[in-house]
Amino acid sequence: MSEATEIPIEERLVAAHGYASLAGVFVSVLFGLAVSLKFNFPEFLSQDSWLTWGRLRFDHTQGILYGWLGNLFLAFLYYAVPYLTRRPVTSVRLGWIVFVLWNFVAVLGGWTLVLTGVNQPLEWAEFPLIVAAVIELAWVLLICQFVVPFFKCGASEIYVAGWYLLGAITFTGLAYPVGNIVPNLLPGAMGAAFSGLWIHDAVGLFVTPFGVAIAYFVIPAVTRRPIYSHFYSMVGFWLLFLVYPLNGTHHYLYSSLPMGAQHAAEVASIYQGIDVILVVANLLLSIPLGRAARAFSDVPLRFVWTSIVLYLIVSLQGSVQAVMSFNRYVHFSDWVIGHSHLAMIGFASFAGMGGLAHIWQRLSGVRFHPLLLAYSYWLLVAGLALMVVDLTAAGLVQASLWQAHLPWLESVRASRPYWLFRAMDGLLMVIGFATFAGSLLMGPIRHPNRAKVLAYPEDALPAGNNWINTAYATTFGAGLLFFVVSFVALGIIPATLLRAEIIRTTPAGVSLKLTPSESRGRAIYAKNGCGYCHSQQVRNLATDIRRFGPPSSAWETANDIPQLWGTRRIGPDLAREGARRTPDWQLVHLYNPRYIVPDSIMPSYSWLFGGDPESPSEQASDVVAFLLSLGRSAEPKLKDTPVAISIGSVTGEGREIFVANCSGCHGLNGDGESPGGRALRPPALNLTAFEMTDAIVTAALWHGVRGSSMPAWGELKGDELTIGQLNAVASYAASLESADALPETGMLASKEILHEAGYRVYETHCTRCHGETGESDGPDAMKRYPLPARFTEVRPSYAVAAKVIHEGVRGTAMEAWPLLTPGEIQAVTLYLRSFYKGPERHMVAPPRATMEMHP
Amino acid sequence: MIIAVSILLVTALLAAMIALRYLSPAFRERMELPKYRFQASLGTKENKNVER
Repeated sequence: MSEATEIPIEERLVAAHGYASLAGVFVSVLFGLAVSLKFNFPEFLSQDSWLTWGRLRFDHTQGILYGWLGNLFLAFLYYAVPYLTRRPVTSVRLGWIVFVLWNFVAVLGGWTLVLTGVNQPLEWAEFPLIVAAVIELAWVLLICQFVVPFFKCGASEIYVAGWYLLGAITFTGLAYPVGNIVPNLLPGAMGAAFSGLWIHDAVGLFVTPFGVAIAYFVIPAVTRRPIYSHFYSMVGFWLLFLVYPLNGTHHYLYSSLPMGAQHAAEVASIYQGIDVILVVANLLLSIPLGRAARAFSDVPLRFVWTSIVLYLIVSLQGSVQAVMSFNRYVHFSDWVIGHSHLAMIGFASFAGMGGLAHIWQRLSGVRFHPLLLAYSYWLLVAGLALMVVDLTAAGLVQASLWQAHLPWLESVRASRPYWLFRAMDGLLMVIGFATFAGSLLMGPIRHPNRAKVLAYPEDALPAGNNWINTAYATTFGAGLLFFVVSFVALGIIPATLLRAEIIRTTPAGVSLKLTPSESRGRAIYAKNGCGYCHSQQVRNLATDIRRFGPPSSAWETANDIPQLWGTRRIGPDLAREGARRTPDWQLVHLYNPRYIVPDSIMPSYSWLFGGDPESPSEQASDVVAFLLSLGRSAEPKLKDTPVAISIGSVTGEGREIFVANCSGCHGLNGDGESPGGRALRPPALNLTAFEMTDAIVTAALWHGVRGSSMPAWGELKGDELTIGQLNAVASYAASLESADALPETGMLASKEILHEAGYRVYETHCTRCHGETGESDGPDAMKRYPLPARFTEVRPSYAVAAKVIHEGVRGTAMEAWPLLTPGEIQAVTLYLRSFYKGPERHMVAPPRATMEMHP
Repeated sequence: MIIAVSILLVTALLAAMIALRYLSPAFRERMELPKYRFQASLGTKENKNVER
């Protein structure tokens, strides 16, 4: 055998990417921790636009993908490629160019731009297009750097880890534009078809092959034994690259994408699970049982072994999730978030950390602390296990509540303990990652022999047969072809079918065009990540339809670029939001959701206002304009069902329901004293200042009040209360009213004179709207929106009537009458009160002069 | 349909590879060579963390 020559490893580039990965993960998990804290403390960091939930969420996942995992894999590439090819990488200078591009332009630049609001609302593609272009350029340079050395090897000589690296670099370079650029060119469902591909390819073609490559590298390096079967490792490799790209559409099951594509993705996902069983079996068999205990004293191998086991679990979980009959329950829930953390931390990060620590032990001039590494392993294993169990349980709770006929907010309330636990566990994960970083930054500086590869001369080992080389090259070409097939089958064909369907099904005369204000609002909505909590696709499932309305059709989003379908529901779906709420409700809710919905965990967007909900900026008005446009084209018809509730005795449950659902606007005591209630137009009713008939209380609860923000609790899709709950809250609300009477000492004239004077004032100023008999049937009544008060059903107290007449009611046609004298006001109040046909109630509380009257 | 045909093709290809492996000892041996070459590249690396 001829003398072997030595090939150096570019240790400085390995170390540079290693250090960058540590910085990347530290910042990224802090973003994640802040995001999880906001679930529990919605006002935390909510005063500035750049720290809003959505933008931090974007930076969390993009930082993990590029700042953390990207750098880990690059460090591994600089170390592994010389071993796998027995040749150096193409260029050290090119390596530093990529390092700067990757870290200072893509990651740092991307983070900064996202925080300033320059981003795109596409999952796993949130960095803006300019950064996407830099990353794509980096991929091309990476192909030059790492793929070229493989060209000089015979295809049949390449070890499986090399194949995985080749596949990862090549296929990700091809898939990257699919998810980052194409959805900016194709609207709605067509864009979603391509987004779905990238969501899966980011994991399947970028993260997974690198993770598996590290396992195939580290296991034989530590155990000093070849892997169990190179043949089966290659079978696993081909299956992964041939089938993985076919999975993507399973992120949009039961959507308006062609059902054939959905079924195909479902089948491919199950097939993928079979492949993972093969890959993991081969890897586990490569660590002989007799040596396992000794091998596990090597902590990096322990990281890698854990990643393999979790790879099996998360992949089989993924296959099950993609089965439509199961997906319908857990999709949009925290189950999926648990799954993604298991994949990105349990599999990818553990593999990467094992690989980096393995390399670090062999680098010269770096510090290494073995004990901290062992501690970090246990901290991260514990943190991950707790997080995945917690999120999986939360997902199951959410799924069961969504299936039930309960208001959406019930799932938010039920999730709170899980979210609090997740945030606390997130702190444990931060400590775990910091300990891992400490293990590579502390301890004594190591001076092992400079890492290098012994390059055996070509005659030292048997050469590959030509036909096998050809077969390998052909199969790799077939892999590329299959990637194109996936692109065609799950992207281009569905898009073509959708285009035809949209033309065929769009109703005549419907305009999907947004006004300039709505378009600006959509952009603000998108760049702040609203679509990451609120989906905009009602699936074709009974539970979705019952809760949100008719299923979303492809034509409805035919103008939406980029699509905002979403894959998660923390808040309700908003595809039909436009017809549900009034503009002022949306404004107050946007300013501070807890003003109106006390248990909401939605962040405040008070930075879009000038200090209070009554001072919206143009941006806030634009967002509300966009929200009101949602579902406009589908024109959902509200039910007009007969009122099915009645008033009975007051119960504790009634107060609980009132506090949970009504107090945000009406105040805890029902006196309208809440910041949210005061900001509405018209303001929320002071329930303590009116007597009301049972009929109007129940009708208002059941149907809502047109022209006001009072929702139709009996008909509100997704948030409707049960009949029993409505009965209880109606009884409680009715009990809040205060009977009022004018004491003799307070009368400015005799009752007869007041009645006569009141008649004259009423006839002069009030009949055109309120009608001659207080039935709200005057000639102008139907021109008013909301309708004028019907005094046969509602009787105001003297105090509140005086206030309303003197000041008017904002947001209604009720004007102020400042020239009326106190005597005239008292007279007209006495007169209009005489119309009331409800039962005379006993006075249960002294009359209060508080809020304006709701007409 | 395209996906179904693709998956069938992949299955057929892999079945053929597995059949070839069992029918041809030379093929089987050749397919395992890369792992030995890789092991040779690693050969001189010292691992002080694994007990012998």
